[in-house]
Amino acid sequence: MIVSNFKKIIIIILIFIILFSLTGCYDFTEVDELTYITAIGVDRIDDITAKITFKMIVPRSISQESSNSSNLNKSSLIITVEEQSILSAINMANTSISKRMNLSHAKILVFSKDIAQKGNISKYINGLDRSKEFRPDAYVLISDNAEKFLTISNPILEINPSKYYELLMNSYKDTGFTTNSILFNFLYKSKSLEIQPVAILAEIGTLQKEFSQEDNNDSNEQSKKNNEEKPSDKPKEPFNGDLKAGNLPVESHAQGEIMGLAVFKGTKMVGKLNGYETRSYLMTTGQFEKSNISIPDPLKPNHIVGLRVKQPHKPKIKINLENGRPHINIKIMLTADIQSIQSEIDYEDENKLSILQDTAKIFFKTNILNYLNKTSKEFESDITGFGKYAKNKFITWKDWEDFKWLDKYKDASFSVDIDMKIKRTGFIRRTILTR
Amino acid sequence: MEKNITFGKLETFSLLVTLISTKAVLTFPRRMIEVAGTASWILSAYTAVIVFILFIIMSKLYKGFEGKDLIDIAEYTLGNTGKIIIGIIILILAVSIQTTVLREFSEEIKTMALDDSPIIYITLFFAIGTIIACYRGLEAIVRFQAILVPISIISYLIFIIALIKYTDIRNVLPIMGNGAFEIFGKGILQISNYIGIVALFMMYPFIKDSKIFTSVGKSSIIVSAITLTLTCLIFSSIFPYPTGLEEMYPTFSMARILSFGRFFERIEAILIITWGTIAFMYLSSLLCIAAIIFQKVFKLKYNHPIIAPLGIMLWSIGLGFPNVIATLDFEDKYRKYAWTIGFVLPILLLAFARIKKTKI
Repeated sequence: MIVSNFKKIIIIILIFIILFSLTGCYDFTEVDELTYITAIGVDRIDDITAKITFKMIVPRSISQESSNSSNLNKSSLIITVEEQSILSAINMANTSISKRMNLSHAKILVFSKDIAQKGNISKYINGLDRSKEFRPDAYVLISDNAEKFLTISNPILEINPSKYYELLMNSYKDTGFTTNSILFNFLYKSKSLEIQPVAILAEIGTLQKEFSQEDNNDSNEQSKKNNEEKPSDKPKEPFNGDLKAGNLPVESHAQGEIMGLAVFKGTKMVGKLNGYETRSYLMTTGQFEKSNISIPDPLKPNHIVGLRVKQPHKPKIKINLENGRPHINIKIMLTADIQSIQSEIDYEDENKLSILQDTAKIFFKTNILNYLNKTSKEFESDITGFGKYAKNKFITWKDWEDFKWLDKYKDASFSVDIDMKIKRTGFIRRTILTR
Repeated sequence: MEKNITFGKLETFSLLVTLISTKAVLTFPRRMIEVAGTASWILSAYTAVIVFILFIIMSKLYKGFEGKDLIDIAEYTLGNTGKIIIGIIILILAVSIQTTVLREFSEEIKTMALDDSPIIYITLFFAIGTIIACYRGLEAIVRFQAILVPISIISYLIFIIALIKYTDIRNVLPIMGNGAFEIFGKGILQISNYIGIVALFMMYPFIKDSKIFTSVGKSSIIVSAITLTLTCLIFSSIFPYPTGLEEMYPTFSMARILSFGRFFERIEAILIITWGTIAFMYLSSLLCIAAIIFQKVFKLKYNHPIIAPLGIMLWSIGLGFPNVIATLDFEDKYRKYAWTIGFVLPILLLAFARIKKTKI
């Protein structure tokens, strides 16, 4: 009887302990006590201090279904802090707002070009990979001015800035103009002996700046600079991929542009890739999904043929190491559907179709070879990750480490085979000339 | 009373898989990478093969000692003093494992979710749960595991399959990682990861059937080897060497990158509950076995009175580590030598017992 009562008492005490200790009342945090950072920008001030910008969601405005124009500007809040690290900047920023800043919904991390070129990115991302709040799938971007990019690039078709950034960053799956440069990939590639990191190029568009109310001297200077850059960057043919973010021929109220990639050697930015080169990057890494690509009309100059290109299989890569000098052979399989023929030439005809196919092959082969030579000879950075294929020539890690692949990559030679098949012609069986 | 309990195949298998495979969600993949580099999965598979062979040798030596556990055999071979010495050595090993695992699990839960909660509270939460489970007896724990372990294995396989899209098999090249000597020479010490199999030799009185004993031992080694090797393979192919060395909790890091589209993210939140359950199963089994060993060594009539003191002692030692680094360092140290207690000692004991039996 005594034992039975004792057990009851113990059970009651345990129930009370569980009730009061597991409900989380002691150190709970309500969701409405937090404010969610959706984007972080880091601009260089000097070697020690950086200007760190946080873009936060204003939940009250994005929760309103009936969006009106005034809400668009209020859907996010910008705070800029001068500090030495992102985490200390959050501390500082928390002193000026009522809610506690939380990183768990941060989608993008924008670094200024200055920081990237000095190889200082690791200083700022160092603390983030230890933090449980920060997601490893946040995108890494490079911009001339990170603060300006975050301030001016606001969603138009979305109210929620978080969703805006997420959809914008995923647009590469349709355009092929950027890539999936998430923090996790960036971090491991920056420490790798076989592949180097890239980041997305992001800018405020030159043509778009006239829409911006915050247009100032800096942006005008940038605009001039971009316009000055245009002649040298001018594409040989009037196709839309030979450009980088910041000088796209787009007029829109949507003010942020992403196009091209920043190329890194370790954590140091060594160059940029334009849209076409980025597509080549995607094709050689097997990340290319689908994209509308214009190629020159083989039978009528100054006209284009629009193709919907897909990469059904990963590329086949073979590497030979002759006298320590790598020769890289890459075979890329592409399929395409004809989307438009400006010249109205009947490419549905089998003979002409093969001409078009051959032109497309040469077009892609030239682009990919240019891209590969640029990464090898100009940037000396294996962003494609050929090192991953070269590794199988070695038995142990020590052998691989001693080979110093990343140093050898600049001596690499390339051969590219394109297996291009035009599969469909849309709803048109035969093109008839207009009168 | 406990001698009347009989465990079937599933119960014994579940207990052994819990005791061997739980380390997959702790630091096991990183520790394998530290030794073998990109060949961590080969090391894991290699140690499993060695353990399998050792187990066959041990089970052959065990023939003729059916119904006896290791403590009984120690008494038979070395007398009462020998039994006490052997018992204390095994107890020290069990306590070392238990305290580090208790602290590691608590630290992992703190890092993953309860970062504002004091570590004393989290470890206490595990310790109380473990003590209560032990009061219910080994039978309750093992039967509970018989339900949950198959579910856990299936869930874990789903988790591994979901991770396949993030893998790049080229990340496990060069195939021999840190070299043949590191893998097949120094790497042999890593058989310590399978010392959980020794629990089988403590459970013979509960199994009673030598066929079950051998088949369960083999199947639990195979399933655990598959789980551990797959974990190493997937982890190494997602987190390429040397980045993998950085990860404190490899399985948690893999869970963090897992998502299905834009609608199903942060799956690690679910895993916290799963891992909490696994931790309870592991810690309560080990505490219960430690209590049984203590009872046998010191010829106690019951083991209930020592469960709470033993649990509190383990909790106190677990809290004694100044930080998580010290805990991991301590684990590295005892794992270097644990194989001597886990494999060499039983084999020697059984061999001597056989010789003694033959002479008689």
